[in-house]
Amino acid sequence: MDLLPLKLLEMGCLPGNEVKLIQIAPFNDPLYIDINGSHLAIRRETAQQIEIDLI
Amino acid sequence: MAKHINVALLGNPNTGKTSVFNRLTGLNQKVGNYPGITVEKKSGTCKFGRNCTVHILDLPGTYSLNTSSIDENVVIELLLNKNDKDFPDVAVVVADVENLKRNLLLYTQVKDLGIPTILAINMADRMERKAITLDIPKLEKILNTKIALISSRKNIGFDYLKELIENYNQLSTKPCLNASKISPEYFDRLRKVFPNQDLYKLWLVITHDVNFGKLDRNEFKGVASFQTESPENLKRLQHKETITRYQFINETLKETLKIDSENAKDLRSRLDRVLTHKVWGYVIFFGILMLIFQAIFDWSEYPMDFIDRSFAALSEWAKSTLPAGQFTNLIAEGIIPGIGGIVIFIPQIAFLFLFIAILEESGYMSRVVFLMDKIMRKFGLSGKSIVPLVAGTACAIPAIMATRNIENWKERLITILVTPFTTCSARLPVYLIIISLVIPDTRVLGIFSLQGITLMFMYVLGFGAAIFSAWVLDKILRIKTKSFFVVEMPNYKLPLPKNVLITMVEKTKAFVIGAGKIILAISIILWVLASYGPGEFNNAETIVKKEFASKNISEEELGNHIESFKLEHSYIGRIGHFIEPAVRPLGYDWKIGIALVTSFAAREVFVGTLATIYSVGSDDEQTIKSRMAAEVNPILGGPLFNFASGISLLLFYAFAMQCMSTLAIVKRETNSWKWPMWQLIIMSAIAYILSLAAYQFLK
Repeated sequence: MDLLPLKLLEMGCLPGNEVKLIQIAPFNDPLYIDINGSHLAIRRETAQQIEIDLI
Repeated sequence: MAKHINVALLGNPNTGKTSVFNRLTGLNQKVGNYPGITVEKKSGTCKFGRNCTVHILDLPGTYSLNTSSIDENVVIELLLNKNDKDFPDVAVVVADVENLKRNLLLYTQVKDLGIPTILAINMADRMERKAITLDIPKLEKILNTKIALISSRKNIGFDYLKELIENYNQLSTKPCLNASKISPEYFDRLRKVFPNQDLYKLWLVITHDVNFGKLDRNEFKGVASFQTESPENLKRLQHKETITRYQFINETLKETLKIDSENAKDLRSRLDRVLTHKVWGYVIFFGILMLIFQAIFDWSEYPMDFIDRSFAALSEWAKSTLPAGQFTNLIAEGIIPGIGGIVIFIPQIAFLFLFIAILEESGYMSRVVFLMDKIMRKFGLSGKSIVPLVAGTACAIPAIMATRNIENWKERLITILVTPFTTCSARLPVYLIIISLVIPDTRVLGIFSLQGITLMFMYVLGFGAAIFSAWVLDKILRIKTKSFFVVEMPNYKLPLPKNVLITMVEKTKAFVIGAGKIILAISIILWVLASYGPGEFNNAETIVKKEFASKNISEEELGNHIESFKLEHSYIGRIGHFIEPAVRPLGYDWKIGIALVTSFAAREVFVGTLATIYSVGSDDEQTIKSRMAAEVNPILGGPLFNFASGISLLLFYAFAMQCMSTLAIVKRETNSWKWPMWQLIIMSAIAYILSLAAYQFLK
């Protein structure tokens, strides 16, 4: 959590929220996600810092 | 009594903040720079009734007050500096009704600074379609402010927003959130050291120092010495602040906002499935690129021809109407063509920014960035670099201006540095004439013209050079950048014509005024250097007349010979002779040397300069070409423009940094002479070495 950039939190990527993977860009990076209604594209290296449970 | 109100317009990116600004100010806008940095400062005024003038500052879009870029830094510096002349009496936070949760984060932060803050919820016209209902009175009560539901697209709610601004002093300045909630223990300590200060402001100053540094703060003396927490801990507290704020927002919206999420399959997801598809995404993107190319190369040809002809005619007219003399010559041959040289770029630049504005406004640009990021990253660029690199094939100047969308400074700098390698339209006339001279007009495999293939190769070469040098720069530049890659994928929107038009006009104006001054100055200097000279220059007429006295030539031919003689003996001709030893190993003579020197102002001057030197007297391509073909190498004999020297020239024009305007714009965008000077030196060195190698190898 501490490694996660503050900006990502500010853009709505918060602990306890649901993440939906919408699309993966060609060549497998970046990822296009919907988190808590925020539609964001982040690079894989950032995404790896986010801990998730599959639901 | 006349009333004056300072308004600061804040908001997340993609909330339509700029459309709100455009609606409020109309065309009463001023675009400048914040002192010392290249962040655009947009401000405007509007009148409320007779006695109330409102000054509106459109601050850069930001997700929070915790800054991570130079643009966002502007926001916090203003809001913390009460002495700034633009310090707002009232802040208006623009929010998108569909992203209210995220947008409220910034609102609560601004509100906590003790500035009266109005919440303007934009795109209210979408509420019905998206089945969103808001309990405005309740929300106003919890947020302790007034809310205007507006729609800049449909022009709804602006009268009420103006009314709220006018009566800003009735708004509460109480904070939404008690800062101590973030960490009671830490804030208690702060309060003990600075008993009279606003804790949230203090907190912002302290964390800001950690993240960004050098904040101008007379009010907060002694803060720098307050170091009780490690940067890691402060960062943790910032995370906690964000989470605490979101908790407050979530609770607030639970009571006031209802979304009927039946229509989940909206336009966005349907369009995204096509536009970011691994095949269709690229096909559509390259289709759009083709369209932009078509506009820049083809459609803008007509206005450009018209401008060219008009300025030539104006020049003629000035020459024939004004009293003869050096001053008239300066106007007709220096200043008017100089201004023409600026104006002629307007169609291309306007078209380019028209398309870029449409792509930005519609939300498509984020998808391109998403598609291209992985590929571009391999070369130290960002997905966002694709726009400048493509735009560079028209002209490096608007392309470099378009790099402003790249938040990461290192990626942006690399993009700025490599963009001039892409084959800009000014190189095209040079390539065309040299290729037609030295490449045989034959066909390869029966269909492909060898000349056409060569031209295409020059484009590939330019793009390859850009990508390759980006890769090298990425390896050698040691720049630490804090920002990282996160792109919001906004909803698709139909671009508002007014917004697109204003962007186009503003950018074009910035070019004409910014780069224009330099182009004009250079063309005047060139004119002076070509129009004056020492010694023999001043007796040109007598000398030439004597030389041709025995030969029977027409008045016109004689005039051309005089012009040619004058040029050879003018200051610029002397410079050409002076640098001849340096360019001879590349296969050029002093005349090409002069053309090279003048090309440093702008590449397209090459053909025109040779025309003057070869005393053709007209810019007609065919005559210049036949004249160039007949030119003999003074030392080796044989044609001067042969395969070896031609290839050498092509390479020189492909790599050399021969464009004063580009250097000027790089200086403006990087805010230092260091980068343009490096560009000039390194690109020219590469050009020289490659041309030298090519000529020596091929001759």
